[in-house]
Amino acid sequence: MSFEVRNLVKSYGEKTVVNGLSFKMDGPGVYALLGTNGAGKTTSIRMILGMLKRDSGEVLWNGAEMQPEKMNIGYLAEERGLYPKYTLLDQLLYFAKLKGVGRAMAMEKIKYWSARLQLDEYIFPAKFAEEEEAKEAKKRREREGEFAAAPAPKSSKAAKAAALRKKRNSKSMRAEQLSKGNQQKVQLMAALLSDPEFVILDEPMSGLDPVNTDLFKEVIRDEISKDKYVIMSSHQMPTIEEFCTDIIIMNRGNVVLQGNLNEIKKSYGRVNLFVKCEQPIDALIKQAGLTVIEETPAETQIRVTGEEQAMEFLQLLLANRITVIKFDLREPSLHEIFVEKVGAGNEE
Amino acid sequence: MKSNELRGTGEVFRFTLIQTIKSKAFIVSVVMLVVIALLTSPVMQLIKGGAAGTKKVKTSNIETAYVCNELPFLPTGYEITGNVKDNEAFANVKFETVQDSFEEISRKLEDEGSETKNVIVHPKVGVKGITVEVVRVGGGAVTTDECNELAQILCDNLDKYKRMYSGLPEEELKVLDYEYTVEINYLTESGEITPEVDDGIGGGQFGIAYAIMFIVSMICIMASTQVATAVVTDKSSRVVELLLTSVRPMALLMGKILAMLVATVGQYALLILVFVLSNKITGALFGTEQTYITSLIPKGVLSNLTVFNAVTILVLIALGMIFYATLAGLCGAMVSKLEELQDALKYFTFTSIIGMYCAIGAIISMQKSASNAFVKFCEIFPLTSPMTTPGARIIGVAPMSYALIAIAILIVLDLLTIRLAAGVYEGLITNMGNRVTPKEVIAMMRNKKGGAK
Repeated sequence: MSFEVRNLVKSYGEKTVVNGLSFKMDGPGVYALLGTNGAGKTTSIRMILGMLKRDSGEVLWNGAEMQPEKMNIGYLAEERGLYPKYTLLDQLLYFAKLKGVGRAMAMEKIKYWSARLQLDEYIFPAKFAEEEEAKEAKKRREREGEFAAAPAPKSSKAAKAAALRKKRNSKSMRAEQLSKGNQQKVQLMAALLSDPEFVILDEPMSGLDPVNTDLFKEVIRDEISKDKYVIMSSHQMPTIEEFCTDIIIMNRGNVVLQGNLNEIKKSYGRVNLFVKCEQPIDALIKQAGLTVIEETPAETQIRVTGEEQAMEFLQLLLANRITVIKFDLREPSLHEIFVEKVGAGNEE
Repeated sequence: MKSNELRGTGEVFRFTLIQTIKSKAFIVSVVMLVVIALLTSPVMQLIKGGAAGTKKVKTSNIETAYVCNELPFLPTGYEITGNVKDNEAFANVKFETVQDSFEEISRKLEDEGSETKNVIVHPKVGVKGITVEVVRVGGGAVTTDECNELAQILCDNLDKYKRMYSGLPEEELKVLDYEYTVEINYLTESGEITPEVDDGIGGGQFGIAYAIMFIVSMICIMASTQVATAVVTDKSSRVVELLLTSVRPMALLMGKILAMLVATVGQYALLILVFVLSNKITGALFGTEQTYITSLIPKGVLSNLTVFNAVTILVLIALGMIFYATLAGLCGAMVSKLEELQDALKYFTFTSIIGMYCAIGAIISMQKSASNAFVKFCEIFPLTSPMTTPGARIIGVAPMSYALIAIAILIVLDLLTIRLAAGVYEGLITNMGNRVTPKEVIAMMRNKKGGAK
């Protein structure tokens, strides 16, 4: 199977928002779409999914025109959306049915994802309450011994009130009752319910706290390991570096850099030198004719032309009896490449 | 329309319908309408039933009727109460002709107290003719219905006497019963006398046509507004992007239109059912064959409602609803925020008001003539035909050919409107900006024709 985008173009009046985007995925993997706000990433994704008419270009799946509604595509949109007034369970079942997943299978998947994304509390409150109650009872038993754990006899009025409370809580919550982060988890769940072969994640981790970011990363890693075709758009460069094999950097609708991430980095060479010493080295840097990129209490980042210049600088440090704690020569980070490419484009 | 474009319509329909029915607003409105439908007939019966009702008395409570006859022309020995006992309800009533004055017998009845089951029958000559007065004790065991029925039998007897008194043979009496018919004819240029047909509808027929027009209009407006809201909700809640990975915009639009129509029609069908049942129960409770409500419906008015006619009417109404709902959906597609919907709906409101007012005008002018040019135009004009023609068909003033022409026009118009609405919906589905004007919509549709996918 292969996925290919050929010369995608979209204009609004005089303004071209996507200008000749082309890329190909010959096999499963993760392709990243990077760019500043308004670079054309989301427009490109919408054209790929057939939501927006393209002015020209082709989107091919296995060499033929891609028909998204006939494929099993999981899509997490940048503009998060759920019906605020409907219950989560109803919505998820609806989304699953639209993807052709039967009710029984959908319920199974919802239960799985709900547990995995820690959403039971909102989707299956009754089940969650029972589990919590059981946990509480177990803790009590452990704390107070077997005899104390026997449930205290409840009056019929109290029992009725508890039953009523349970019944009231048994209904799945409405989307509007959830926090933004939890709504995002529900949407990721909606995107993955049908176990899609093709996944598009538009800014999947934006606005998430570190705990949920890790949860999302774990899920994404799992999806990648299942040999899926994944297109990911993000502003978080470390995330892209963590998951993606190939990247496209877009600026104002144009592709400014494209290719395999490792090869791109290699082509830049190892020009970033991170140094930490016990003594001040400013004078020595000046003496060697090097440029400081950034200086923090932890380290000094210096731009070198390559390994040779870096070795010369190390010898200079040692010759001056400087105690070197850290001497790390690296390729430029994706963040640096991005800033360089997009910054240059914006200056033009 | 490709089948691919409609794939998923069923799911969208089911989900939208279930969520609409589950919504608090829908439940509250249904409960309110059902309560109104449930109470209308009994309340009207209580308020108006006495005057209009023909409550049948099974066994009268009256024990003795004091007959105080003040009619001077009755021959001696003619008993106006002669055949009253033939009526089962009054078989046990004792009729006692009194010689006392009416004032004296009234005092006597008063002295008998409130528990008395006796009445006074007092036929007299009044201002307009003969009056048959039946006097009962207020709050006593004898009811107004019993007195009414007794008085009616006595009136019939007096009528028989009038005919007998004339001394005319039976054949000549029939001439007296002849009714008058007015016929105004005109002479054509060729010298033929051509009758000028009076084809105006009566009050009862007008009521039926107007009620149907009103119900259809209400359903169209309610369902259409809900369709527009549902369309905007998808956009404003940003769910639409997720949905579009599974279904085409056409399927989303059609699913919503059908769901809202079914919900609204179901709501009104339930209302009518409850109303009919309540009317039946009211009849049984009040012991009357005809309640006040049914007395308002002219007899035989539904005789035109054959199966074929009913199907034609339902198809016409359904097509009309789809047209209005699609139009509202089109307005909904032009905005992305709920707060902008009211403004965008002005195009729908304007169109529906034109349709509704023309339909009202057509039904009013049917009273003068059901075959004038305006009525005929409204019977086939797509904005008015769903509201005018069903009622006109039921009361039998619109020919079937007009209904079929109206259906054909609506089918074509519906297809065009659905195409346009789906095109606009598809074109603007990801537009989350400001409201789009009709000018921009037209420009967009033009570009679409010339543009590549």
